[in-house]
Amino acid sequence: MLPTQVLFLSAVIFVVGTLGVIVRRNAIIMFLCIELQLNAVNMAFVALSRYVGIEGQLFVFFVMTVAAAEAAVGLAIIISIFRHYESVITDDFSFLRW
Amino acid sequence: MSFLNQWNYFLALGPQAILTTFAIGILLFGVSRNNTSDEHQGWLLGRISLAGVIAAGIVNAGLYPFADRLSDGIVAVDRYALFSNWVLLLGSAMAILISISYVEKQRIQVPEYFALLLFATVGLMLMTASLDLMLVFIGLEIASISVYALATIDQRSPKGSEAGLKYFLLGAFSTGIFLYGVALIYGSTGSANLTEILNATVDADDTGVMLITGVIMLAVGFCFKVGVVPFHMWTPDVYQGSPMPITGYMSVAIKAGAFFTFYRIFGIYLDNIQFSWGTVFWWLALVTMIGANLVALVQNNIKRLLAYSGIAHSGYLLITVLANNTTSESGLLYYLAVYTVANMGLFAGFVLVANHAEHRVEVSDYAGLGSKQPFIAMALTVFLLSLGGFPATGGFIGKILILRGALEDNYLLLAIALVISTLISYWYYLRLAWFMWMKEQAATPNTEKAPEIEIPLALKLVLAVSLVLIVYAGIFPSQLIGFIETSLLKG
Amino acid sequence: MINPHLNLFIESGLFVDGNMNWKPIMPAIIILAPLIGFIINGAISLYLNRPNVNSKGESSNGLKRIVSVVGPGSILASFIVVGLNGFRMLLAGHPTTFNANYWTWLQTSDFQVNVGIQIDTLSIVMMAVITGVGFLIHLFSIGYMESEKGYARYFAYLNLFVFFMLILVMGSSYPIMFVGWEGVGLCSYLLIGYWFEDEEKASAGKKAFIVNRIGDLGFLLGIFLLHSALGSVDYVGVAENASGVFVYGGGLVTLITLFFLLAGVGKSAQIPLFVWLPDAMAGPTPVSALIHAATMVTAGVYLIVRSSVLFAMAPVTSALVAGIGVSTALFAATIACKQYDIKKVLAYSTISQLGYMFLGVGVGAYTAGVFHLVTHAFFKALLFLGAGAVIHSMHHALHKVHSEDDPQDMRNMGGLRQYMPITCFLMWIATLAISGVWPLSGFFSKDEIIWMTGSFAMAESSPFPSLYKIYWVMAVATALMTAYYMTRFMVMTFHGKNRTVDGAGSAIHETPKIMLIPLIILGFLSFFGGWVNVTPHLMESVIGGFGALPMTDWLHHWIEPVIAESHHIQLENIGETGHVSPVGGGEVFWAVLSTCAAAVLVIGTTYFKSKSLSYGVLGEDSGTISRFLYNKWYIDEFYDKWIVKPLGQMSKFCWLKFDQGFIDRAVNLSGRSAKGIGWFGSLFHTGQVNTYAFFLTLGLLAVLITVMF
Repeated sequence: MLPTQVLFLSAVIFVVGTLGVIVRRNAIIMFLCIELQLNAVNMAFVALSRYVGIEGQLFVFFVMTVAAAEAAVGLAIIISIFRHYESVITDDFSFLRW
Repeated sequence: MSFLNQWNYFLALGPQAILTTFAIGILLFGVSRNNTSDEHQGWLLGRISLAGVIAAGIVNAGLYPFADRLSDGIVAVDRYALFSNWVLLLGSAMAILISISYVEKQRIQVPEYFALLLFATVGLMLMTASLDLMLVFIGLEIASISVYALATIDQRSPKGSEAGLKYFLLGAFSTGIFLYGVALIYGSTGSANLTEILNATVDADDTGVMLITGVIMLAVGFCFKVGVVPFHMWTPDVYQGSPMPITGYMSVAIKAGAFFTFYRIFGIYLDNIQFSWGTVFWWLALVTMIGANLVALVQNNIKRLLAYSGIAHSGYLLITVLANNTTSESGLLYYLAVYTVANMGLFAGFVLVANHAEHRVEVSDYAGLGSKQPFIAMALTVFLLSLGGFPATGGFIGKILILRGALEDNYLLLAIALVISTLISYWYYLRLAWFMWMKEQAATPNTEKAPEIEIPLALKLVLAVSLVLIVYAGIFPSQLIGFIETSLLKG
Repeated sequence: MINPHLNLFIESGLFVDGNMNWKPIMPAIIILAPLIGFIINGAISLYLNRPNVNSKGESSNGLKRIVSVVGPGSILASFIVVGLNGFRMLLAGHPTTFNANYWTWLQTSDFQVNVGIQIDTLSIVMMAVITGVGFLIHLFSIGYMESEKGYARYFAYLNLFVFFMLILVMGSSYPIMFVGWEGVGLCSYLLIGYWFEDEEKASAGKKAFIVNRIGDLGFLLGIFLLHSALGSVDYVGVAENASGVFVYGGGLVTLITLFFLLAGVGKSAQIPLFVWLPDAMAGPTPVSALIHAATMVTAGVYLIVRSSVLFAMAPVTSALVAGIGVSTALFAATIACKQYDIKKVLAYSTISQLGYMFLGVGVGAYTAGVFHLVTHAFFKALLFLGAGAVIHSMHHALHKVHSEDDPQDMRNMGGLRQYMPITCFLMWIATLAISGVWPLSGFFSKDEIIWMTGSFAMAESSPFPSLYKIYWVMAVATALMTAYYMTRFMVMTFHGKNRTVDGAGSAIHETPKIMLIPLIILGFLSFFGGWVNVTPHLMESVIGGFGALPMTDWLHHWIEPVIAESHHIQLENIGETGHVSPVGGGEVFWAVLSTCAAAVLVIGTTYFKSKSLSYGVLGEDSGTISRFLYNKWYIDEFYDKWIVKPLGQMSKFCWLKFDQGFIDRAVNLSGRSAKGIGWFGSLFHTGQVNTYAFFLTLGLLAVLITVMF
C-alpha cells in the first residue's frame, strides 16, 4: 500500500472512532472507540515515517504505552462506576449537569 | 552545556525527578504500612509530599544559573519553564495543604492520593518544559491520567465516579484529536521538535492543508484541557463531582500547565503561521469570555460556578496567546500566578465551609458566613474581587496587562469584550460575596445542625498566604512584573 | 524598583521657599487617617461580630464609644491637615502643583504608572469638601446610627469610602483615579446594602455597582487610548503633551473624551445610566448625603474638569456633555415634582443638580461646574441630613405607636415645623439655596452655569450656537422647576396640618445635638458658601456698592492654574465667553431669574399650604380642585392648571414611562436576558458524555471549516 492510502485509511478509522464515541452509549465501547482513534494515529505515524524519517515509528511506542496506562485507569474507573450504578450505559449516570 | 552528557538531562529535569522520587517513596511507604485506619496518616503523607514540593522548589531555584544554557535538547531549561514550575509547585503545595484535613475526614487518606497529586505535577512540569510535541503529549498524559484517577479516588462517591468517567472518556477523546494533530504536524514538517517546526514554518507561503489541520487539532486538544468554549463542556461536571481539593488543583494547575505550554507552542513556535489559527482563536476567545460568563450567571453550585469562571478566565488568557507580544506574555504569566493563588484560596474557603465534605456547596450555603467567620469571608471576598479584576488586587494588574497587550496588537474588540465580560462576571462573584455578607443564614433544621467550623492550621496557612499575596500583587506588583519580564520567552 | 517611601512624612518642610515653590505638610496623613480609621473600626466590627461576643454588652458599649471617636476623628484629622495645607496654599499666593511619587505601581515595556499624589488648587478644593462635609456627616451618623446593628461596620465602610474618595481626587494619574473610582463604587455598594436584611435593598446596591461598571469600562478604555496617544497617563504629562498631539476637534481626542464621558455618566448618574441613584436611596440617609449627593456622584464632574484640556479640544463631546447634563437636569426635575418619598425627591433633585454641573463643564465653564459642586455639597448634604433627621424622628414616633406607616412618605408628614423648628429653618435655607435665591450659595453657582451657557451660545465662533440656546432655555426651565419641587417638598413635610397617625405627631421632636450641630454648620455654609465666587458683573449691577468685596471671582482665580490650558484652547477656537447672553445684559437677567425663583417659591408655598390644609391627603392633588375653587385664591387655579397639572403629568410620564418603564426596565431586562441566555447555554450541558463529545467534534469541524475557507 502507498503511504497516502494508509493515511486515508487512518483518517477513516479515526472518523469511525470519533463517530463511535458520539453515538454509542456503552462506556466500554466508547473507550474502545477511543482506542481506535489512537490506533489510527499510530497508523498515521507509521505511514508518515515513510516520508520523513524513522522517528514516527518510535512515537508509536510512546502512544501505545500511554494508551496502555490509560486503559488501566479507564477500566478501573468503569468498574468503579459499575459498582455504583450497576450499569456502564452513559444514560444511567448523567446526574452532573446543567 | 549540552545534552550530549546524560547527566545534564537529570539536571534539566531536576525538579521533576525529585518529585517523582518522592511520589514513588510515598507509594512504597503506603505499601509498607498497610494500616489505613491511622487517623493522622493523611497529615504524615501530606507532610512528606509537601517536603517533596519544597525540595523540588529548591532544585528549581538552583537551576537558575543553568537557565538558557541547556537549550539544544527536547527539554528547555529556560527561565520561562522555571517560572511555570514555580506556579505549578505553588498550586500543588496549596492543593496538598487543603487536602490534608479533607482526606482525613473523608477517609481517603490513601498514599495514592498524594502520590498521584505529585505525579500530576510532574507531568505538568514536564509538559511546560518540553520542546518536543511528543514530550508534550507524554507530560500531558501523565498529568491527565493521574487526575482521572484522582477525580474518582473517593470510592464511595457516585458523583466522583461519574466525574472521573466523564473526564476520562472526553479527555482520552481529546487526546486522540491532539495526537492526530501531532501526527499531521510531524508529517508535514518532518519533525515533532518545536525548533525544527519553527524552522520549517519560516517560509509561511507553502503551508499545506495538512499542517494547518494538524495545528488546529493540536489547538483543539489544548482548548479542551484549558476549557475553551465549545470544548469546555466536561469542566463543570467534572469540577462538581470531583473531591474539592482536586477540583481546586484541576482548576489551577492543569489550566496553568496547559496554558504555559499552549503559549510556548502557539505564541512562539507556531507564530509564523498565525494567519492560520489567529482568526479561530479570536472567535474562540470572544465566545469563551462572553458565553462562560453568561452561563455562570445561572449557576448555584459553587463548584460549577468556579468552573464557568475558570472557563471565562481561559478566554481572557487566550487573548494573550493571540496577541503574543511581551506585554501579553507578562500578562499571561502574571495572571496565571495570581489566578492560581486566588483560586486555591477560594477552594480553601470552600473546603472549610463544606466542612471537608461535599455538602454545602450551594451559593445559598454561604449566607451569614460574614458574621460567623468574618476573616474567612473577608479573605474569600478579596479572592472573588481579584478574580473579577478589582483594583488593588492582583487580578486587576493581570487584567490590565492583558488588556494592554491586546491593545498593543490592535485587538480593540477583544479588549472591549474582555471588559464587558468582566462586568458580567462581577454579577456572580458579587452574588457569592453578597450571600456571605448581606444575608442571614436561613434557620432551617438542616443548617442548624451545621457544625461550628473549625479551621485546621494548613487551611489557615493557605488562606493567609493567598490573601497576602493577592493584596501584595495588587499594590506592589512591580517586583513580580520585573521578575516575570526576565522570564519571558520573547525577551 | 520600589522607592523606599520613608520620605513620606519628611517631605513636609514647613516653609514656602523663595520661588513660591509650595510643599504641603504631611500629605500622606490626609489619605492615611481614614484608612487607619477603617482598619480600627473594621477590626472592632469583626470582633463584635463573633457570636460569643454579642452577649457581653458592656465591652461592646465601650468599643462603640471608641468607634464614635475613631470614625469621625480620623476624618477630622484628615480635614485639619487639608485645612492647614489649604491655608498655606492661600498664603503662597500662586502655589505650584505638588507631585509626589511613592512607588512604581505598574511597569511594562512602555507603560508606567506611579503611585503618587498631586495636590493643586483643584484637588485641595475637592479634598476640603470631602473631608469637611464628610466629617460633618460622620458626626451626624453618630446620632443617626446609634441604635443600629453593625455600628462599627458602618463607620468602617464610611471611613473606607472617604479613603477611596481621597485617592480619587488626590491621585496624580488616571489609573490612580481609577483605583479610587472603583473603590468608592465598592463602598457605595456596601453601604447601600447596609441593611442587608432587606433583599430589595441589597440588590439595589448590586445594581448600583453593576451600572457603575458600565461607566468604568469607558474609563479603562479611555486611559488606554490616552496612553497610546500621548504615552503618558499622569495629569502633568497629559497636559504637557495634549496640545501637541491632538488637534482641535480631532477624532482621537473625541473618542477618548467620549469614553471618559461614559465613565462620568455612570458615576454621576446622568441619562441613561442614572437608574441606580434613586435605588441607592435604600442605604442609610447619611450615606445618601455623603456618597450619593455630596461626593462620589460628583466624581464624574471632577473627571471632566481634570481632563479639561481634552474636553476643550473636543467640541462635539463637550456639546454632548452639556446636552446630557441639561436633559438630565430637566428630566430629573420633572420626576422630582411627583415623588412622595422624601428621599426620592432629593435623589432626583441630586440627579438634576448633577446635570447642571455637567452643563457647566460642557460649556467650558469648568470653574462654574466645580463651584456648583461645592455649593451643592453644602446644601444637598444639609437637605439629606435634614431629611434624615425627619426620618429618624418619624421612625421613632411611628415605632412608639406601633404604626406600620412609611416614615419616609411625605404624605404621612406635614406640619413638622412645630415639632422640629430648627431643622425646618435650616432646611428652608437649603431650599432657598438650591432654588437659586439671592444671596444664598446656590444662586451664585447655578446662575453662573446658566449665564455661561447663554454666553457660550453667543460666543464669536460657538460650535453649535442654536443648540446651546436650547440648552439655555432648558436650564432656565429647570431652575424654576427646582424652586417648584423644593417648595412642594418643604411644605408637604413641614407645613400644613400634621398627617401622621394619631398620637405619633407629638412624639416627633427635634433631633439630638450631635445631629443638629452638623446641620447648623451646613446651614451656615449653604447660606454663605456662594460668596467665594461672586462674578464681577453681578457685583457691579446687582449688589452695586459691594463691588469691592475681596471674594470677587475668587474661586475662578483659584482654580485657574488647573484649567488655564483649556481656557487658552477655548479662547483660540471659540472666542471669549462670559460677556454676552441671549437676553442681553446679564445684570438684569440675574436679578430676574432670582426673583422668578423666589416668586415660584412664594406662590408655591401658599398654594401647597392651602391645599394641604384642605385635603388631608396630597396624593390626589389634581382633578378635584374645581370643587374648592371659589373660596381659594385665583392664583391657585392658575397654578394648578398651568403648572401643577402639566408638570404632574409630565412628571408621571417621565417617571412611569421613561424612568421606570423604559430605562429601569431596560436595565433589568438586560440583566434578565443575560440570565436567560445563560440558562439557555446551560441547557447544552446535559450531563451526557455523548453530547459533550458531539459538541466537541462539532467545534472541531467548525474551527477546521473556518480555517480552510
